[in-house]
Amino acid sequence: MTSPRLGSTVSKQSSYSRATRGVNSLKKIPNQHFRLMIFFVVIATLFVTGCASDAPLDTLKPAGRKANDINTLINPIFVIAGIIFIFIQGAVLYLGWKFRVRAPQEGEDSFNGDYPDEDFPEQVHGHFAAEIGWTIGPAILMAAIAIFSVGALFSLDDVDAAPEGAAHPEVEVIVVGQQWWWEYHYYLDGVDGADQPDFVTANEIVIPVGQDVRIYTTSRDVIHSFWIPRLNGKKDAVPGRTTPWVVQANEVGRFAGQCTEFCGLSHAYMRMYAVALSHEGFQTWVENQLESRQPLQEGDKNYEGEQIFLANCSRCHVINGITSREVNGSIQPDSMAMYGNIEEFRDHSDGSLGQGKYTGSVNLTAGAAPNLTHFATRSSYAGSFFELYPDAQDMSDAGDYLRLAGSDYGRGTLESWLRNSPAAKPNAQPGQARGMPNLNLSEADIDLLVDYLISLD
Amino acid sequence: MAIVEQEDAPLELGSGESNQITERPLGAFTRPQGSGGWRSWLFTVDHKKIGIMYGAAGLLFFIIGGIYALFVRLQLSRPGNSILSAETYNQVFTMHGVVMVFLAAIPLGAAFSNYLIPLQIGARDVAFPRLNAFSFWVFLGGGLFLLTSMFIGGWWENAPDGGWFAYSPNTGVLFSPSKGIDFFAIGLQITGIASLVGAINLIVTVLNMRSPGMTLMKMPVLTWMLFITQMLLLFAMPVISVALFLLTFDRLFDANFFNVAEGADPLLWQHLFWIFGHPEVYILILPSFGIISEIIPTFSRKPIFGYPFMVFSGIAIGFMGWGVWAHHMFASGVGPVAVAAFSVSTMFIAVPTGVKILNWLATMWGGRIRFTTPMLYATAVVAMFTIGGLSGVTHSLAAADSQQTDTYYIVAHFHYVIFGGIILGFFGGFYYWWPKMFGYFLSEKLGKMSFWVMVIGFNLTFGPMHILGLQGMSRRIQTYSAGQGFDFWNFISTIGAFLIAVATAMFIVNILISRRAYRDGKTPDPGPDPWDARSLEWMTASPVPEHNFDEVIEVERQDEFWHRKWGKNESGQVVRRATAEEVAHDGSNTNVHLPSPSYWPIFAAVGLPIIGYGLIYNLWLCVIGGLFVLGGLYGWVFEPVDDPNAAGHDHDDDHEHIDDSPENQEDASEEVSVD
Repeated sequence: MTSPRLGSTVSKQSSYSRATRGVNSLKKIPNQHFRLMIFFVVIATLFVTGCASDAPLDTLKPAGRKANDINTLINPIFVIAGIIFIFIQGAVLYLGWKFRVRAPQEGEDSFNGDYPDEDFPEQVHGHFAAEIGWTIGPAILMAAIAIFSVGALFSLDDVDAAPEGAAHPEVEVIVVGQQWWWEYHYYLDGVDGADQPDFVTANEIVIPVGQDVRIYTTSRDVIHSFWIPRLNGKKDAVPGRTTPWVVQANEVGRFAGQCTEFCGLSHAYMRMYAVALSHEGFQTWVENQLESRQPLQEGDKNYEGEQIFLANCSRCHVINGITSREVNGSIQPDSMAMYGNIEEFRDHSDGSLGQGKYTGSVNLTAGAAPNLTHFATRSSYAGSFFELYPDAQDMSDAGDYLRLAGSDYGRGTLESWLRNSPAAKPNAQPGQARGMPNLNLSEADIDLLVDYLISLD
Repeated sequence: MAIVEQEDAPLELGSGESNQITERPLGAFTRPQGSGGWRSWLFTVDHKKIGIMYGAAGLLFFIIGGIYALFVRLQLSRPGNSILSAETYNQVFTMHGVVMVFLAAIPLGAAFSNYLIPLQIGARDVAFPRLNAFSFWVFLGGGLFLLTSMFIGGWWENAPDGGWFAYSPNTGVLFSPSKGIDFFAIGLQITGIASLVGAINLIVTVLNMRSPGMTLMKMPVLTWMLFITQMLLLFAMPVISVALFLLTFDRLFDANFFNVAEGADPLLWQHLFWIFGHPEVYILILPSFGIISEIIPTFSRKPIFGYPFMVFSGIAIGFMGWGVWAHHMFASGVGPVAVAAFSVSTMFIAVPTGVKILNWLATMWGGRIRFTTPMLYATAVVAMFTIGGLSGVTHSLAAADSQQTDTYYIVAHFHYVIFGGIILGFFGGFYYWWPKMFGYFLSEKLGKMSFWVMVIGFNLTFGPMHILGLQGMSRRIQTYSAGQGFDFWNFISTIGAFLIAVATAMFIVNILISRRAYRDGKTPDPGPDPWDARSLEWMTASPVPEHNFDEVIEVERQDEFWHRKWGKNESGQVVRRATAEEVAHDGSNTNVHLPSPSYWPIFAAVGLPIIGYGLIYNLWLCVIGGLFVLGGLYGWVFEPVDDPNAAGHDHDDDHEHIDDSPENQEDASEEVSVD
């Protein structure tokens, strides 16, 4: 029963024409394992260096309580999985190494199967105790993990009470996904029983630091998924459903997010931010958001810009106090009432899916565009794909988010967005009433419009 | 001979006469004749030819799906790339998923099922040979139908763009107004018919046509795994069929099954899709598990370790696979109780899978392992699938999954399962059974080279995706920005993808070179049993003669063929009883009655894609397609049961003739093939 790779067997197998092959393959097979080892070392090195790179969506750098809990759960699992990984890979390599014999492969390309007859190992058919062992063992391990897993799962849905000093302890937000941006309906005293939101903003959800803010994800068209990786896991935004979830940050700053449920053409460009402010900062921000605008008079600065806006943009975009639209045959100023309440997102039997700014079949797709009342206070636009302020990240992380309005902004990008938005990012397609179309504005109009938009603080 | 097609029995009933055919209900249509040329493939009912055609088609679709993948990788190789527009990208990644799952992985599994199940159980053919041909042609028609969406109505205008999972309402007409989702729904409906028909056929085959003495618990592990696969298909396919019908009616006939505005709940689609979709994962993986359960014992020169545990863990996976579907929906808001239940069931499905991995390792333990190309692939499956299994456990923890789902971490996970577990296993199977199928070896040298290129390329492609996913890169995004930290690993991943392409090309080159060498007489004769294998398919000549076995094999124990070759001496050492050549049939029996080829399976199958085009473009086409199907079925029913003058086999065989030997006559009553 000696293995033919041992020198002594070579003479024993003289009847086999391939007796000398052993020498060649002895070199060959170790070589393969060596290559494999090199490969794993290279991969491991790359892995370690790769993790060091800076990624704003990194799930392993939690900045919120929930994301932290998730990491506390998963990190030991990664370790256990790593141990099993090393054990199995080690076993494969070890067994392959220890019990290998060479395949006959002299000269010719093809294997022709001439094995030494007598070379058989013990014919083991199984081992009952071992089988039971490696059935029960993993089952117990899984059961143990399951206990922690289920516990973590239920605690993930819990909402803590607001901390001391919270300016708005009851604040809740309906997070509405649509192709391809996020809208936030703020209810400062909670959604229950409220007829309409206190104010509506887009792309960036602003929260007071340290406080669990309950959100309800929902959608006006297809399924999206709301995900700020450093704060919490993701929750789908399903039309006709309002799903509770929590956004909470341990530190002041701006945290990147990305829609993670495939939602059509511009899915990759549907991003968002969560911004955590101090409690005083949040109060200041809320007070500003609650303010409406007054129509500008002829001769006022940016008056022409506002007129261009009303002529070209107000069919879809709202500026509180400025825009108006036809409701039941009469022109009425836009108001928060048109955004409806949470019940309208749940009961969509009228086809409105919460609310619609228009009637008709394109309602689902084109109804809403971001409310621009305080456009200039947001650090990004167009589904948070473009940064309005080049320094937004650093300033927000330093707690200066509220000072963005009025600071240096990226005029060129905003101009090109207004010039031809489908060219700037995948957007409105012919025949599909969604996204922002190319409005064919003149350069002069674009200039005036940019000046106007940037004044909306 | 033992296995006699008695499809003439119904005719007999009416007349009470002998089954000598004197009258032809449709005189113009005799059954096709001749065993050579393209006709012998188009009209064949031979499970081996059908298996080979499944394999060839699956490989072709695998290459096409791979080309899609290369374009996806090219697009993602750099941030802000614009090789593919968002519109095209969405179609390309959808087609990649659809083609790889439905047109490559399923048919490659079907290739092994068709070719090997009858051989491994010692049968003459499958239970319903014409139905078998029908399911292949239906599959091919459905697959080509899907692919034509690439260019019908414009280049990449009408391909499906909703992802392979096709979540509603994004697949509604309002959000996906091109014809793509129609092609998706109808195309998969057609290939689903193929899978369902094939599954029924093979289930009946396994249950009714095993050699005498081969009890279920003596079947090879591969046959067991393929059998479980067919059972899963049988129950999973109707679910996706229902879902696709609802989707088709929504899109084409203004139904409201998924119309949220009319009160539909979009989660209905998700439940239907994943009740099919998760068993589908096991439909894909179990054939590969079976394949390496044949390869590892053969090249370790040991029997499979823990045969009953291998079988029952497969069955356990088959059952538990039905209770885990909602783990695809942890983030969808089904509520924490449902999520907890599915999370726990998902964790426990790791147990039978772990049993399999440890049993493969135990089979290798103490063996005499010969690292031929098939064994290299089988070993790689154990190693690579383990990685996919472990990452699978990390997202069975629902809380953790809320970070991981829909990121590249998931993409990494299921590619380690599907590529590392399934595709590598299939490649191992190709190298292992190639001499049996075609009578010559694939080059070992090229095979080993391509193996290493493939394994390295595979790890370079999908390994970095673990990191990308944990760094927060979402799935199905057409591009990413430079500041997101995804640049480096995406670039590495793209390099890896091209290495896989190189390895696949090397495999094709290997086929061509080895085939030429074979034609030139430069390759060694593999003989019936080149690897000193264990199961019955090696007990006949290579390539397998049309009638499979010369006589019925009486099976006494598991690994019957091996036990006929090897015995034990007094001291318990394994000694040779007989050489493989002595034991194996040489295929010389010309006295075998076989089912005749038939025109009708392909004729009927052609009708289905025509109906599909009709549904999308012009309902009148449905009438034409319907005539094909009905005419095909009519001809099928009324075609002569056999042609006495058929030259379908290389002998002039009397229709009624049954091998005279008493033992075989006895078997004949048990082994009946009804077409």
